[in-house]
Amino acid sequence: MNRLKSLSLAVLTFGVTANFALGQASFDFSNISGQLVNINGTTDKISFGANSDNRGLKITAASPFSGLVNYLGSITGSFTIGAVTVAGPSQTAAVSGTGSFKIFETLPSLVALTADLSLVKISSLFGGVSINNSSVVNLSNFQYSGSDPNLLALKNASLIGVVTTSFQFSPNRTLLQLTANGASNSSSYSGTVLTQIPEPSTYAALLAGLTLVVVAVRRRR
Amino acid sequence: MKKSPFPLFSLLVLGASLCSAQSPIDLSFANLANQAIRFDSNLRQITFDADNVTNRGLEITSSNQTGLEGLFGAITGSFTIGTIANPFPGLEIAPLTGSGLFKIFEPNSSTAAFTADLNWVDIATFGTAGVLNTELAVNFSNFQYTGSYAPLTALLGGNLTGTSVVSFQFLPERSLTQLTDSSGPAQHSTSFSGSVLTDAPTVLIPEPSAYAAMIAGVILLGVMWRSRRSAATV
Repeated sequence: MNRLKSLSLAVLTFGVTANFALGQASFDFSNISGQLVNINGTTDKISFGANSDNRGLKITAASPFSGLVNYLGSITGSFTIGAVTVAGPSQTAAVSGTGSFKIFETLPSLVALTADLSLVKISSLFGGVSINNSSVVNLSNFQYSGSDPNLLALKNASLIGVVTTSFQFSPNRTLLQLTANGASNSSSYSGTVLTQIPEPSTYAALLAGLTLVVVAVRRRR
Repeated sequence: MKKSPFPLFSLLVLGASLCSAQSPIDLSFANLANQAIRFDSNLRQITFDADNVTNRGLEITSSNQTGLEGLFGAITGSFTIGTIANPFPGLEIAPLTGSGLFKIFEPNSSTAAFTADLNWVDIATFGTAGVLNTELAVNFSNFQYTGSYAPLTALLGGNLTGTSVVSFQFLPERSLTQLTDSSGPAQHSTSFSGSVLTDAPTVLIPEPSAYAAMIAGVILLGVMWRSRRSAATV
């Protein structure tokens, strides 16, 4: 029991210290022509379209790495919508599954910066639908082995990140309608990414927190 | 006397090529690079960017009407955010006043365009997301187009009205209160996407390859008819 408490305390401490002030790098993106977010109501799957060059989205604004504007990317993976909860005008469901967020070098290269991605949660409200609208950290493991200076700069500024995506339907589609058997809906989408490398002070806080946990556990023993 | 099938076949081919599919035209769009939805916190106003040279701010990224996908457009006008209400925890909503135009340009043009009068009715924010025209009121009207580009002409086929909704997002999240807080940043901007449903039925617009196939078919039918007539004469 004590071990469980200690573990809980350690997780809590890590959670608090890992709650970074995000903002090292940010960029906005939108889907490119013909490549949409798709929701299959029969399988409850969310997918994002990509063309024959594996591109499905375009970076439309970036700070501070403005050279990333017009770079193309994609969202890959298999994501499944869970049980829908209705609260007032909003409908929400957890999303399981993992994928990748990619930003490619300029064509015809297939080399890309990649980050592991989870979508976390999907919510519908009025005609709008949003993914991860609680800003949970859902990008990790940024990888890039190429030499594009803009992608290298982003890679060097990104250890973890948050991506949120929004889209819409006219006529309105609630989450329950989107996940109904036989439903198949597609839409244009836009999104925003914030990435961060924890500052030294964050690492110090993390280390101090873990040390405190260890001391507390030892004392109890 | 046996009737020639030629006129009948020709009519069938022409009819199949030109008939209407009858489902209402829908389209979705997204902002272009360096063009965003912009919030002025001092003026409490929303505007949409457009390129100074091309006048373009968005691209049609899908449509059930052939020929609309890939066209560029813009949203003009400024829209003022009214009193903010908080009807549900985390949800902020406010009326939007003001009017503008939704434009879709002809291919390779920055002036000749389909236009619709536009108002956004209201705006809501919830977490990182925001929506314009939450109740999906009919907010497009007075469709105008004087050009001859068939996919744009098709939009004039109904009661000249439509419903559009736009979504956007911010990280870190920005509530309506924050977006209109004049003591904070003067401007906030982000990417956006939107969907439109009109009351104009889709129109089948044959592509050049379809015309070529039709012409080849008609020629073949003509040859067959002549052969039969020659054989009958002999």
